[in-house]
Amino acid sequence: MNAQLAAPVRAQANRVLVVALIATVAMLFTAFAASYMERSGARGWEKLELPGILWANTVVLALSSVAAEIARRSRARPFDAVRDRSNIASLAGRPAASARWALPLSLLLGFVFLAGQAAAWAELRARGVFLPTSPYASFFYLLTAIHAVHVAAALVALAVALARARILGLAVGFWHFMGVVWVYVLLILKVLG
Amino acid sequence: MEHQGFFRKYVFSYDHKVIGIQYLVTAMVMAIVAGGLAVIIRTRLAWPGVGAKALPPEAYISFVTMHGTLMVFFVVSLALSGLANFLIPLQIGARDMAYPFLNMLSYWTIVPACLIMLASFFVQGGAAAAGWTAYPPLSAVKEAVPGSGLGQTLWLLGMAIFIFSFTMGGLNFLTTILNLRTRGMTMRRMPITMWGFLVATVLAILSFPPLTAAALMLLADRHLDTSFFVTDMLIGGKYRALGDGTPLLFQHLFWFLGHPEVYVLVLPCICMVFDILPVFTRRPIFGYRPSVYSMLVIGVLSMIVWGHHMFVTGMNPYVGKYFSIATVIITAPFSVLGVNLLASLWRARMRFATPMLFALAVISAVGLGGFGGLFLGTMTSDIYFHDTYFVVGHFHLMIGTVTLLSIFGATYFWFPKMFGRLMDERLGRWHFWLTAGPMITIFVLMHMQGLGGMVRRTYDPSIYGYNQMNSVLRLPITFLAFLLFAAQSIFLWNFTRSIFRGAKATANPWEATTLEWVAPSPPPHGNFGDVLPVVHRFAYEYSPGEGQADFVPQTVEKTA
Amino acid sequence: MGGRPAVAKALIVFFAILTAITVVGFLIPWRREVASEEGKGIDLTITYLLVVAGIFVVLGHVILARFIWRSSGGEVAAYGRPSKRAEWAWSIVPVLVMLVLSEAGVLFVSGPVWDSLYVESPEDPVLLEVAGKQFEWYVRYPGKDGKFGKADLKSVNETDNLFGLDDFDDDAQDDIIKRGQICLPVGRPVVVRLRTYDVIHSFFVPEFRVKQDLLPGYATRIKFTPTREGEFDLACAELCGLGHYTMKGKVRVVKPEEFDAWLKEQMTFGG
Repeated sequence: MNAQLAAPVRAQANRVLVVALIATVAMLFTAFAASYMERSGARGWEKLELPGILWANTVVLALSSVAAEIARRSRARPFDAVRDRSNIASLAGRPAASARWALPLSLLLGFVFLAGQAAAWAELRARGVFLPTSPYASFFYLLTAIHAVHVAAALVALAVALARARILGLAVGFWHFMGVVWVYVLLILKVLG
Repeated sequence: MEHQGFFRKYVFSYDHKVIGIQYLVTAMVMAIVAGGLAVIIRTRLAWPGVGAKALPPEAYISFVTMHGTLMVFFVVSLALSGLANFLIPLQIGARDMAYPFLNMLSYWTIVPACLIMLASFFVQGGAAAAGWTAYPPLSAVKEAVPGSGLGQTLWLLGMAIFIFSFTMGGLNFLTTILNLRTRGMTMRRMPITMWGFLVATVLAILSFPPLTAAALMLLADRHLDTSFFVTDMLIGGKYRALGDGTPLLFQHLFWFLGHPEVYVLVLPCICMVFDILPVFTRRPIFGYRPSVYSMLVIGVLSMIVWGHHMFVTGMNPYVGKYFSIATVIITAPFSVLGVNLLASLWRARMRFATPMLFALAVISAVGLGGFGGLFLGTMTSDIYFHDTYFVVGHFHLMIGTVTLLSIFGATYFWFPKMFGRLMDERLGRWHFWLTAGPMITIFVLMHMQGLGGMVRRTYDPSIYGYNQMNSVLRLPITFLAFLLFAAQSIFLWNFTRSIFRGAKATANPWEATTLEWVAPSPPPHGNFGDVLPVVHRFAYEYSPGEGQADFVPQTVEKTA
Repeated sequence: MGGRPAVAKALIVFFAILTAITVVGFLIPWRREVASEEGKGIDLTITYLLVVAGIFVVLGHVILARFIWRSSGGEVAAYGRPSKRAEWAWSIVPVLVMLVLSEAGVLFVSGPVWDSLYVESPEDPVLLEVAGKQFEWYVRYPGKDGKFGKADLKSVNETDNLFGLDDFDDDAQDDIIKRGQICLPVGRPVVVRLRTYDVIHSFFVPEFRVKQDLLPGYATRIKFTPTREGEFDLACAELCGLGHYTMKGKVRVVKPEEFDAWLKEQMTFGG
């Protein structure tokens, strides 16, 4: 039955799906942010020096987003005239050359980001900072870990998009959102409290 | 139609109708468990002097906790998921959900959640015992109550899976309603049930994540030694340095979900009643548009009033005032729904089939429950009523009675579409009288116990002298509860029997106008045959004018 | 009219009984006689809401019954959609009515009581501290100096130091400590500082109509003014564990002279 949906309807549904997904994940992080703010006003609150590698990770994630965007656009290029850029099911022309390397590169950078996050956790461990060490440490591990789980899920989506181009737009949209959430998390941890 | 194996067709089906029925049946099974717990609770309350060995306090609190959890999340929510699954594609003229695979997945993730919840009764310490609200530190510290051992961990796990599944389901409902409407089915022509599910879904998607966050932090507090919610305490005679957490934070997160959840459950139910009424009054519903706007307003307001559950926690008094002012604003749009339900009966010609009886009782319950809410939203009367049976009576009227009576009505109403047969009318009437009567009465009486100050979740209320007077109500409530529980066997019998033996139903046995009645009963996979129906008119064209047919289906073209 | 089906009549009787149970039930004075100034204010709010809700519940059920009666007589339903104007009118009217009635209840009936409970600070109050633990209430008066000695959970001792006071703390020496018993003078405002040793409890005296949670890690506060002598139950209103239902305390309200005499009789922490 699924296949009976017309391509534009499917694309539109995908767009709604990704917006709703983003909304629900955004509410999750909003809840964490609100909790963080509430907690930071209470006793025993002390901030930590953040591991320097986080800034490198930020750059990696940004580059990955750029690569993903290149992949999305290159695939859609022959289709520019059509309103729906993410739908390539009925794509006639050949994709641009960048389509071949951009998505794998984005994926690779995504994994590098996760590895970088792991390195950040390792650095804190080495400093003797564990999850229960302080409220700030708890929030640091919690926020970064929850973000990492979502990044991993988004990476799976990107990987699936390698094979099923239909969901490329969906996956890339969510991938950008992961970048936005990361900046949000970093801002909370750095600026607030 | 391609041939499908038994498993693909009935078990791991992608078909929204099969999935919908799977949800409904799961909800019924869970309802038997949760209802059984209620019967045990009521037995204990009626005869507090006896049976302390058979039902010790630890079992009692576990049962209270699990009764609440199961009823809210695994009975009413699941039954509504079932009806949403069944109705959404049919009423908007789609062949299936937007993402049938995801739909199958969301049902099959609910099943383990149910099993985990049920299994938790049998672990050491028993099931969770910190109330369905699971406030820490009671729910966070093993020594606080036996159920806060493995039972609470399973509870949190079960809830997390439930939320995951419910979110997947919600994403499907949302995308389907917004994108898969057939030609001519504008938003304003949708049956109002679709609006109900739409608003409920948006609310659920936005309000469940904070509970997820709270559950994760609580799990970390329990198992990873963090101190988000827990504080240093002296428990069981021992000092435990647990940190400097903020237990109130959990309550904020919980009620940020908890309050919208009420409307997630109630709005679709009221809307289903709106959809049942015109069929049996032979009149269009009154105030379609004002009702839809009211629901939108209720949806927005419901997300900014959660603090009215926390008036006595010692929150900033100005914040408390704000929450009270904002909360009672909801009575305004809500009264629009109530008035419109009533006005939908105006100048009607009633047909008293079972769905209609349930719909009429819902109108009464909406009134009684809605006005009870006023006492709890107003800050100072809530100080007295908070955590008493007034609250218990109130929320059982809203998210117990309004919802279950609507779901029963809806089941009788859409049963012919589900199975191609009608449910038995005579049994249906018996079921109605023995359900609506006891149910509403029980919870109205509980308000009065609350008025007397009776505190909820007490194993033996007779310990307090002030309960002397209101304890005269304990026996009547318990007997009505027995009656109510027993009466459900009529429904189960009627439901099961009618699937196989019920009178054959035509495509449109109630002479209704909306799209699901255009499809055959039961509709085949894909619902509408080769060509999707096209919609030409409003969903409620009954008695449209002198000399015309009694009703005009949405698919009938307009003649100039 | 003979054509009216029995089920319609039964429904009308059903809703009549339901309404009767509700109305009669709420007219029965279930509440204990009020015993505090603030409680009178809270009772006023409850009465106001009972009247408002009562009127609408009865009115609603009367209309419901009337519509069932009228439309079950076998006539054909009226033709045509309800007019847009009627629909909006019948929506705006309830919105305005409910807004006015409910907000009036919050702001004008409920507001002053709320302020007196939480915003205003009373003059010359009786101060005491009540600590909740599973499943008991500990009570402490500050003594002559009006100051509570520093309490530390770590030094709490079930036999002789319920509050974990410091032997060398000057403020603690004249603190008076009781177990499960509160004594209060009639007519003077009382401010209770509430703390918990373990989980959340809630301080509830039905006759005073007031209730306040005890939160781990914080001290909360409740204020009330007893208006009549008597002995009342202190209940825990928030589920706090297995013995939640047994967590009962006693509040005795006595004449001011009696209260002063009682205070003098009590042993202090310093002996």
